[in-house]
Amino acid sequence: MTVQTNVFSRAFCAFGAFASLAGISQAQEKAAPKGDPIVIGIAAPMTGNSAEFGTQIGLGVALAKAEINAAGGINGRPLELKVEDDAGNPADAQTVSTRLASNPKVLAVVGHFNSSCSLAGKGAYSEAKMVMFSPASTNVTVTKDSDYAFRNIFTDDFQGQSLATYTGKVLGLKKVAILYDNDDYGTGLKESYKKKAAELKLDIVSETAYSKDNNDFRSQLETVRASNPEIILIAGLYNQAAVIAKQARELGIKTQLIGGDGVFSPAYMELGGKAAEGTFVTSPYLFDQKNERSKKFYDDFKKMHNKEPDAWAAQSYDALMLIVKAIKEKGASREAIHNYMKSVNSVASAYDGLTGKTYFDSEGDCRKPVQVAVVKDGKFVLADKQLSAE
Amino acid sequence: MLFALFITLNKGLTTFLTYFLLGLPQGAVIALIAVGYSMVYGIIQLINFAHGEVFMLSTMWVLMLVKPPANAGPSYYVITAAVGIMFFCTAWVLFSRFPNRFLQGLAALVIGVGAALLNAWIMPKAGAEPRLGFFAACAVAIAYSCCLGVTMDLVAYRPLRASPRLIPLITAIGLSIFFQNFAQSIWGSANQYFPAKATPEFFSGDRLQLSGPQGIFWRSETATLEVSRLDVVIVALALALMTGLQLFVQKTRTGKAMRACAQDRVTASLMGIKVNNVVALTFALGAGLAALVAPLYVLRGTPISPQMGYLVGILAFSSAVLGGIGNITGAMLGGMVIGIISAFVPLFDALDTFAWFGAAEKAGWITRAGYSQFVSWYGKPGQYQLGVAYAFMILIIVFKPTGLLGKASAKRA
Repeated sequence: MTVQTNVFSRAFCAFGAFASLAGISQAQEKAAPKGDPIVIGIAAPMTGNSAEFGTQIGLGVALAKAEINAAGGINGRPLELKVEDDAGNPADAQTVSTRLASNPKVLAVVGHFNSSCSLAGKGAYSEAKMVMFSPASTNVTVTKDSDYAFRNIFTDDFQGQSLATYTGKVLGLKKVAILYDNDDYGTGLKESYKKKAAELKLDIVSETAYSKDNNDFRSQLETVRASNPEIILIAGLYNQAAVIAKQARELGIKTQLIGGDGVFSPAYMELGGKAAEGTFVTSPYLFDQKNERSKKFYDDFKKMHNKEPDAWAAQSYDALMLIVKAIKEKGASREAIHNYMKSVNSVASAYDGLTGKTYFDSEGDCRKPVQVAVVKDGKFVLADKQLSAE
Repeated sequence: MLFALFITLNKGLTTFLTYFLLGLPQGAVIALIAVGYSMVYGIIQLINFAHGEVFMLSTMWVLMLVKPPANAGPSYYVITAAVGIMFFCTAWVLFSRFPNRFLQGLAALVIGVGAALLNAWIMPKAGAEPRLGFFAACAVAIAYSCCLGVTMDLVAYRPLRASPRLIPLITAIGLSIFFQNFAQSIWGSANQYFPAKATPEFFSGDRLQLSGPQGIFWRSETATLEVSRLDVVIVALALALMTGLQLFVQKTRTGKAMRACAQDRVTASLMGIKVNNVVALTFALGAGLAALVAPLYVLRGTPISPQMGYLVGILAFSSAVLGGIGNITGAMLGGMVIGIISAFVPLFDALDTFAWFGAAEKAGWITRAGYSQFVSWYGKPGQYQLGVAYAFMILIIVFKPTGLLGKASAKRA
């Protein structure tokens, strides 16, 4: 008896689910066009360590798809997404990229998330002459040696330069102490910061390294204090940055802190508590309640998914929308999309999206100004002063 | 001494003392953990690699008692069962004088079930206020960790007492991995801190100022040092515990039994010493010392995570080796030395403020460009903070294989 009930209730649930799905698609198809669907691939980590990011990407593009199909599709054809999971793992990313590239129906790909995955996948995409558009990979080499790799996020070295510009030009501070993690990210960020700082005639008063294995940064902070800086750059990840902030405040160092997107994580405030307050951090995108467009995306996203969007949802929403625009203007083929992306190469031809004006240089990198967030009451909010577009 | 003189001459006494006082509490914590390694080694010649994990679990006990979970889950029952088992095993060892195995088991069972029920009561439920204050939670954590030490010995090491030394060593590594995974599955792998409202305000109060005469050495430097209250508490506590432990080992009957076991286990047992109980006591003592400093270490800024015990454990183990493993005083000294040395390393990141750097540049031995090229290849000293400490240990071991205070074949403990 119980077994029967179970089967019955399951069947009922399944029916309910189908019914609601059908309901949704019917509602969309009212305005939606007929004909062959236009297929865009989405490659993101839906499982694994970066699953939270991949989920946001999936939800972001789902919102874009719903909006496009509700508005009549692309030139009368419905948009369809082919979501593939790379698990944040370069080996999986390679399989995924081959699968997407060898499917002639897929016209372009939004992805991957992790730099290592984008690097693993880009070969297959370039061979198939298909655009790979990453909303999140910041490693400098991602767009190198490939005509088909694009991104709408800043690169690591651009980020360092932006941080230096922000320090010197926007905040007007001259004496900088650098505390950096001795990994690729930390040293890379530090080097690009120093390069720009030299141009801006900033004074690097001290430069101190730390290792992720250590959790006592007081000695480093004493060295920093002795150099008497006006601002401290933490070139590292949020876990250590939070400890550094805490110990700095404990030692009575009240100097302004600034960090890269490695610090841009809610865990920074969770771990750092009060010490995290006031830290400047670069971020790819921040929701601004004062901005009409930003607010609309935020509300629509929350209504559709019952979840708050993050920067990656906005970034991938924008990426998909730009590809859709390419198809609308140049036609539905891999080549047409690539031609369009190549033509978006100046402020004048830039795509004005949710996250700002997107246009590409010859490498396929995006020169969008970095947004600067500040920690206020335990949350990242848009800083009052921002970098101006170049 | 030479080193102290060098820093003082180059950077002034205040700088030397500032860094020294940063290293002291760090060293004190490491020293107290190192004692746990050394005592156990002294008696059963086992390097208990799971000791670092006992330290980690001690912070976890405190965390779970002062921070209500976000949502109720099965971990609540798992922890309660684990506490019950730990107390059962400890009681079993305690009641080893009972004439009858059945009675012994019954009494241990009563205590185990009682402890489990008590734990179920004191653990905060999801969304509820914690029942215990910070210090009460620390006290409970110390009790839990002592029981964990005894349980570890009873379950994992005692059955292997007669086997070759490599076997319990492998078991210890296995236990260490088991505890890490246990902690990860129950408390998650993310870094955590004690909630701000649970931590006593005393520690976050104003830092203490120590001032001396201006220009205390030949430099016209400010002579004010700042020390945090927490650091003072840690160092004072460590000194008191170390003295207490020395008195215990040297002056009491039980201490005498421990020393006897360290010298010769077989003869000690022939003299009527219950060797197994002495070993259990040693484990409990070591675990208790680690549990005492663990929450203070977290308050100093190290986040709680399942991996924290590994790093601290390796540091403490190295200190024990540096001081001469098996020697309690040596372990304390080793811990202090490692803590203090690593505190000084980042000072060398700002090389050009050293007087001799300028002198060497003038003499043409070093060029600024050459130095920055070197740094871009090999990095700054600060990132080798722990590396320098280990290198020092290796250096000592090479020239004195028994460690700073170890004696070749004299009595241990």
